[in-house]
Amino acid sequence: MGAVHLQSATLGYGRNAVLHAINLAIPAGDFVVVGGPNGGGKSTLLKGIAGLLPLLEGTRSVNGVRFGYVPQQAAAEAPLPITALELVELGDLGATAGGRRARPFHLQCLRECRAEALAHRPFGQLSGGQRQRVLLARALAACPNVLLLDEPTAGVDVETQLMLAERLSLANREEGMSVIVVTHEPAVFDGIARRTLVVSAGNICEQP
Amino acid sequence: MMDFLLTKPFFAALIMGLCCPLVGRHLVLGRSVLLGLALPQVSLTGVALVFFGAASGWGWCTAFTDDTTRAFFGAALLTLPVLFLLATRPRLSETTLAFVYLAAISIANLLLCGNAVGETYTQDLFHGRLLLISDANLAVLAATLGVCTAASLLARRRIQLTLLDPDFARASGIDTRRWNRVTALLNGAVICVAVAATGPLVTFGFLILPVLCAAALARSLRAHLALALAFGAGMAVAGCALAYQYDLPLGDCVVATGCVALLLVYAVRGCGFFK
Repeated sequence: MGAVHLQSATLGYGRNAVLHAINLAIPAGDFVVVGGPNGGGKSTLLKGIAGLLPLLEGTRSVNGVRFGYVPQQAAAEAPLPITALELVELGDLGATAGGRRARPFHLQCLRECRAEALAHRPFGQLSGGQRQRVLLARALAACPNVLLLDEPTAGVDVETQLMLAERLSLANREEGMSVIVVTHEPAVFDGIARRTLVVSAGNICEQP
Repeated sequence: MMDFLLTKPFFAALIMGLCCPLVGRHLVLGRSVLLGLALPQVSLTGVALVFFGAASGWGWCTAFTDDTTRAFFGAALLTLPVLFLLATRPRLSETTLAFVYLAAISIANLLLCGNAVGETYTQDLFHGRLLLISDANLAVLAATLGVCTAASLLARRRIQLTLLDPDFARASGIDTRRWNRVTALLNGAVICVAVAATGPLVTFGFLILPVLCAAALARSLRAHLALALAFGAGMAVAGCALAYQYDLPLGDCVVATGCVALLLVYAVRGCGFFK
């Protein structure tokens, strides 16, 4: 359960391929850090895994996978006022086809990301680090078995980086969640990640 | 004053004030405020098209017994297809919406050249046809907006998530394409019926002004919803009262009241139009 496979997958936008014929297997319980230069295709890979981009070629297999997705902060800007708790409540919609879970569950998600005190504050008024905690709580509210994070450490303080690393390590080792993190700061996940991939010039290679 | 408050125009304005802000929230959440300006104009072009068809002897346009039915049909004829076409795009650029608005307004004017009946009808719509609203119009307006409001409220969480963060929604397993279509259908139904009954100015005013007023004051989505509906209803009541008191055009008065409310809210909150 929770395994992701891309076979000879070409990913891109419109007709423009960014990643060419890549093969990638992420078994259940894996922790992968994805690094590489700007424009190399890191976020494209993440979106391809999540099914947000159609494959131009190849196949994608995601048997039994339930994704949790933490986008880059700019993508989560809200044009209307929304509190951190409301954002987390919206996060479990995909996991619960019928009635949603109760408020204590959503507060618990925030507490696990050390953001319970932010529950009733407008998301737009939070700092970068606080927003990142709330976005992680929202992703966890979806009860995923594969967690995808797009540059969660960008522009956040060291304390938040450590909190993120600690919570992701817990999710991976104790809850069996697969974690795939795109980052420019792979050192934050030293000792936690099981593998590091480098995406560059349309290809992926595994760092020893 | 009580006699006045119980008349059809007041109820039409109140229905608009309580229902349109929900659709306005969809437009703002989807970062498509200009769609709220362009779509009513597209509806008006549909109205102009059927009047042109009736004057030109097109069979399907002459089949309608009265101008109002013709207007409802015309508004739906163009609005729903255009909206579905636009809904297939994840984010509409301002350029696209500006093009739609300009194309719609110029085509409407060309279609109405030399068509006195159509021109009079659409001029009334342009200024807000609230005072001329008939029993049948009011019934259609109440039924359509009531159903769409109930559906919007029931599905509001999925619609909100799909509009707010479509990537997160899709990754979480929500069928965003389906929810985009549902939203487009609700928006289209409200806008075309509201335009055919009251005109594009009043429709756009009720879609956007209460939502912007509430956004400046609220701290949460729940509070925003309650405040937007309160501002919509307040706009209707105050606009109707002022129009009656000073014998002013009703549609223009209602929208002007909303604009004054927005200016006051921005002044109180220290928000700027140009920030």
